[in-house]
Amino acid sequence: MSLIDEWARHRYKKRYSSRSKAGCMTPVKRSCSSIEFTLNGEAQVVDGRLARTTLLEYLREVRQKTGTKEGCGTGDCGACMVAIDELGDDCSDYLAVNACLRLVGSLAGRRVVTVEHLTDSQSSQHPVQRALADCHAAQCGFCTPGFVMSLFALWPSIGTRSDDEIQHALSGNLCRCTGYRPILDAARRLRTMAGEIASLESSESAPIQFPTRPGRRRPARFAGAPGFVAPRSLRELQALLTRHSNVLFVAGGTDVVPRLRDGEFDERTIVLLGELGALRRLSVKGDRIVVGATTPLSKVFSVLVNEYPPLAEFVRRFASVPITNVATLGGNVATGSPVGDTIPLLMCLDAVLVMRRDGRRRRVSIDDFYLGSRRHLLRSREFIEAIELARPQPREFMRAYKVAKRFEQDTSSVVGAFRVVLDDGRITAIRIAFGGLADRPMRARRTEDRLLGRTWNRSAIDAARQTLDEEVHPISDHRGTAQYRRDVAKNLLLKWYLELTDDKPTSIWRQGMAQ
Amino acid sequence: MIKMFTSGRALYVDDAPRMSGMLHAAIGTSAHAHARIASMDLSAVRTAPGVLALLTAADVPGLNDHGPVEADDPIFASDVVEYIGQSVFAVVADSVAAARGAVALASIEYEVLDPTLDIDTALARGRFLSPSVRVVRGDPAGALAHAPRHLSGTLRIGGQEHLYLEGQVAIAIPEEDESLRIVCSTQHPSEVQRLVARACGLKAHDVRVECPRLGGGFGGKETQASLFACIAALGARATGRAVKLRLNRRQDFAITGKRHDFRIDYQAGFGDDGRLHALKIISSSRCGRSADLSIAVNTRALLHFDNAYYLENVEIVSHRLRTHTASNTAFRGFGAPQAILAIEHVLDDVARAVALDPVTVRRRNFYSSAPRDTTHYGMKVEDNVVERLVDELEQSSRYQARRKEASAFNATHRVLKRGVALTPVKFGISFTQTHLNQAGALVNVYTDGTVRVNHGGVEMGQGLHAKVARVVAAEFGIDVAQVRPTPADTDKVPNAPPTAASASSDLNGKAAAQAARAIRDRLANYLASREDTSPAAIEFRDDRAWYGNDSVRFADLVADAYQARISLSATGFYRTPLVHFDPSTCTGRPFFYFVYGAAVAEVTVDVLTGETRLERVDILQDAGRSIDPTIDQGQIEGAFLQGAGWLTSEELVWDDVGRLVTDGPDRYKIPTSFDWPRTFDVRIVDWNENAQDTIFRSKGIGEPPIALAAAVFLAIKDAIAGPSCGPVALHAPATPVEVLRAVRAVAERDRIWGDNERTGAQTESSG
Repeated sequence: MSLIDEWARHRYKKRYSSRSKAGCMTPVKRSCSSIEFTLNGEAQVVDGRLARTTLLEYLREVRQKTGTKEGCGTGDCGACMVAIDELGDDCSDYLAVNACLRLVGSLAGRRVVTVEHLTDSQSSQHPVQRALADCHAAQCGFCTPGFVMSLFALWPSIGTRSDDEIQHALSGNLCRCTGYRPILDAARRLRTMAGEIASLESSESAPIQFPTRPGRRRPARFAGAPGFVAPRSLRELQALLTRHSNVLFVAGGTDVVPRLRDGEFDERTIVLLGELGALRRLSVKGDRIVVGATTPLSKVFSVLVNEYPPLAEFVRRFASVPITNVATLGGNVATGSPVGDTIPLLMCLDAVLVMRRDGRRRRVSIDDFYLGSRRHLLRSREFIEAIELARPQPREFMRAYKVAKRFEQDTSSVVGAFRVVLDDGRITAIRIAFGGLADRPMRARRTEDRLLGRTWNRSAIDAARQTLDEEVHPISDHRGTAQYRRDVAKNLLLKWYLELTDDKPTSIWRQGMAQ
Repeated sequence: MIKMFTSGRALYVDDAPRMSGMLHAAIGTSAHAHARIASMDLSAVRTAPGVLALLTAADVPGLNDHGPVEADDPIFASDVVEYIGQSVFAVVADSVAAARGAVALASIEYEVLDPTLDIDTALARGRFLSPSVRVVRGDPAGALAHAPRHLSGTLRIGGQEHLYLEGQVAIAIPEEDESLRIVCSTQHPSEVQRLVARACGLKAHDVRVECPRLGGGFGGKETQASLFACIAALGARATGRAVKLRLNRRQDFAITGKRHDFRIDYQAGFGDDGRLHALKIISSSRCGRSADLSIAVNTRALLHFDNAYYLENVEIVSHRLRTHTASNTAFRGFGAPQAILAIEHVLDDVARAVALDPVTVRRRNFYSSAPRDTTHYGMKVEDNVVERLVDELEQSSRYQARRKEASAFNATHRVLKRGVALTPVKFGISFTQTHLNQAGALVNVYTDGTVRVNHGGVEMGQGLHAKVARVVAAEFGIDVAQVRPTPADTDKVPNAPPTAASASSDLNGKAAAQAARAIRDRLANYLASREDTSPAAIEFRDDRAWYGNDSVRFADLVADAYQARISLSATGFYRTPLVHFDPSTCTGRPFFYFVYGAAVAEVTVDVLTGETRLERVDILQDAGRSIDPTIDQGQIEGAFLQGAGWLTSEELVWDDVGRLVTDGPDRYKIPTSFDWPRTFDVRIVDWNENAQDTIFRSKGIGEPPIALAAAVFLAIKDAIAGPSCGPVALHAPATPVEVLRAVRAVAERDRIWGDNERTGAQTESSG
């Protein structure tokens, strides 16, 4: 394979091995008021006053690195995709991240790679770029750097990825020209190549080092600047909250950063929660799953799917990879949109929110948390520390559905989550929750009551559908009419039933994969 | 070229190295769909930090208008505003943030007037943009009355946002002696030149427009880019400094026009054999607040209601409606995809009514030999290959077998239903405004034998530059790597038409070939006289010029010719022959030729949620003798998926006061890679060449395949209908909401799903 030969000849390992890069990072004057990170192997020391600037603005306007494009500014098109070593000090993979949703203040100690770094001065290119070029996977070319970076992040593991996983990895990238076919071809070609390189590696004496492992991160600290604070411990956070009254908590930032850029939160001090290790814990113990509030959804989801395999489809279409790489469960809960995204699922899993204020904890059921549209129980200085979820029980059937105009990366019109425990065909416990059917995510308690204690059969479901019809008061908006939401809610109940009783596929996603 | 894209080194307008002292502009827009501006207090805007200039209607030295056809598009509204997003004023400041921040400080008082927002209201109120056009052939009323079978209905077809990944952007740079250089993302540099000059009170020769490349256009930068270039230019004139205007995505959605949405009311009379006896169509389209290109768009629609079918007795009435929404504009296909979808929708219901296979019904209506070979506008269809295309596709896609498999699947599946549909396309190539069918090119050969070619076309991903370079290389018999195409520039090729109408390779390719040939002839004459042979005996191939068995390297010949003082630069010009069209009577030969294609789409529909998935597509496309099959395949696939998006997930929603709610890719959903079907077979037929003398006998391919997406829409209808034989009232886009509504309607009407168990999904969705 000529591509592989060339790849090996140009010794990408030298370019990308970040251990050497980290080592040659020039020593700089250390100060807590500047933000230090690495961009394409070069140390950056950025004035803390740029903390509220997006990485995209920094790249294009400050550094004149124009390979990273602005397509939408809301994390929906992927033209600004970059790779960042994201998940904490233990992790060594680059993740695809939208630069338009990333504040410079959240980059301390991170390593950022942009498209410019993948082509050297001799114009030799990373295998990802070569594959895209060989497959003619660009027309107008504006989205191409974004696809390059998503595939770059996927490259270390692409050899083992299914077609669907590849599409998922590209779900945050829009292309308006090609129809995606040549881009998918390029990704499949990379998958084949990766396999061949892996076998090459095992047979050759001189091992080829993969270019994509960032290696150990060099710790860097950014305490904050006017309008931006980044606490490193819960104690520090507590102290900050007593000093700053008008604050905006930012975790992944996927919801607030575009609004921040439009000037919505000019008066508020950003409190970055992403650097707090104490909020990023994730454990499965006894009968509970404990999720730190700022744990990225991608990590939360992998644990959830492990516990509840039927959640695979819900998780698959929940959001694009670059979004779930940074978005958090706590952020989702605190945003509290009527559709609710994960909230119906959390209701179904008996979620308990662990909230902290002034050093004191309180525990609140997710069912009691919301007061209305985007209104909830959190008081001033209070934040969510963790979310506790139930683990599966024996004889339990659990499903969650997301319904939207588009399969990938779309806000849902309706979310439905269902969980039942059967004892000898009788319903002994039941949870039914919806998003998009009221001004806030809701438990359908009357419908649950209608089913509890009954035999699990079609007539019980039909009766429950009747009750549900009376129980819901859906909203009407551009995502769906109230009538549609009502119909779908009832149909999801039926779908859940059919999925557990009928042998025929009920999912447009899964049925295709079975073939 | 492609390496530049993958490396991120390709420079778009916004990527140009920063100019020192460059300023940034932002636009203040109307908050109401229809209102009189009672008062406007911009003092806080003027004094905001970083602001250097404020521009309103009063600050336009020339004509306050950017309308491409009619002068009805003010750059800045001054009295009445007519859509939410209409430009009212602009700010020039020392940073993007300062400019955008200052805009928010404006205080404008409106006297709100009653808006007309949609087609139905505009029809009821008689708000016509221009007189309606009526085309009649035969005796539609009589034939309709006597037809054995009848069908009537209404089809609503939604619009479409271009969502070019690169948003609108323009830079204006003041140069010496009052002149201006504009660098902007436009499909029509010559028009930007004309309109900028007109707005600034300059002459055309004072303004130079360059377009490095487009990050997507799709028609959205054919006329819509002018406003932004004009504002940047006015800002540059006001401040004497370079000004950049780049929209954010929400403003881009709000300000710019979209594909026209249509309401089609139809009456069809037909026989039991499925042959149409008569067809009456009332076509009503929403044009928005001004003319823009709406007349031409509706004309092209009018010329495509036949698609591939002979309409013996036909009446088409075309209403063009003025509304208080953004002025709708060109979008790939230019009205034709809407018309093609309409006739395919009708034939689909005809087939269902007579219980025949839809392809059989289509075949019975195809254009064939005289007299069934003349369109309703009087042009003979001479190059018809649709029958052969459909025959081959029916075989290669296993259409009939898959229809049966889908039925079998549907009989045993309660939640998921399959649908299969085949649709053909016949698409006319040429601008219907005949004068636009011209092009110029400039070819320069340098003394080392390398070549630069410039032409009036803009590169926007469609591969135009690559095709033209290939044409020039072929004329000189040299490797294509020796030819460098250069960005569109009004200084190099003046008075060019827009890069549009799928005709740019035809037009610019021919013009460039002519320019190259002029130089080649000079070289041949020179060589013939030097080697004492005849110019006709000289052949250019393999990087050499051959005379008998002897040859000279092309580069050496060029160097010698230079020494001999032979001109190595030439312009070329081309105008499309044969075409003529009278829009007032809708007769003539508007098209040089037709492009044909056919597609089979297979979908799965979830009848519990209305969600759909495109499972498989088979396309057979005529591209004449393709100049570059890889480029053409890219155009076919990209256009097809763009069309599929238009007809499924891409929904434009306005609220009650006329605000576009789906105003960004977070709410407006174009296809992702998941939406490309897992199984596909896209092929360009190898047996056809253009009957007309086009460049290399190729055909235009940019637009025609978007209409193939009608197959996706009809496949969804097929899945919804199942064995039902009544018409399926499905409107486009077939969003989950729309699909579930149609599922309910069919179930309630037919009760075809029988016993309670099997109705499950269907009837209970109504309970």
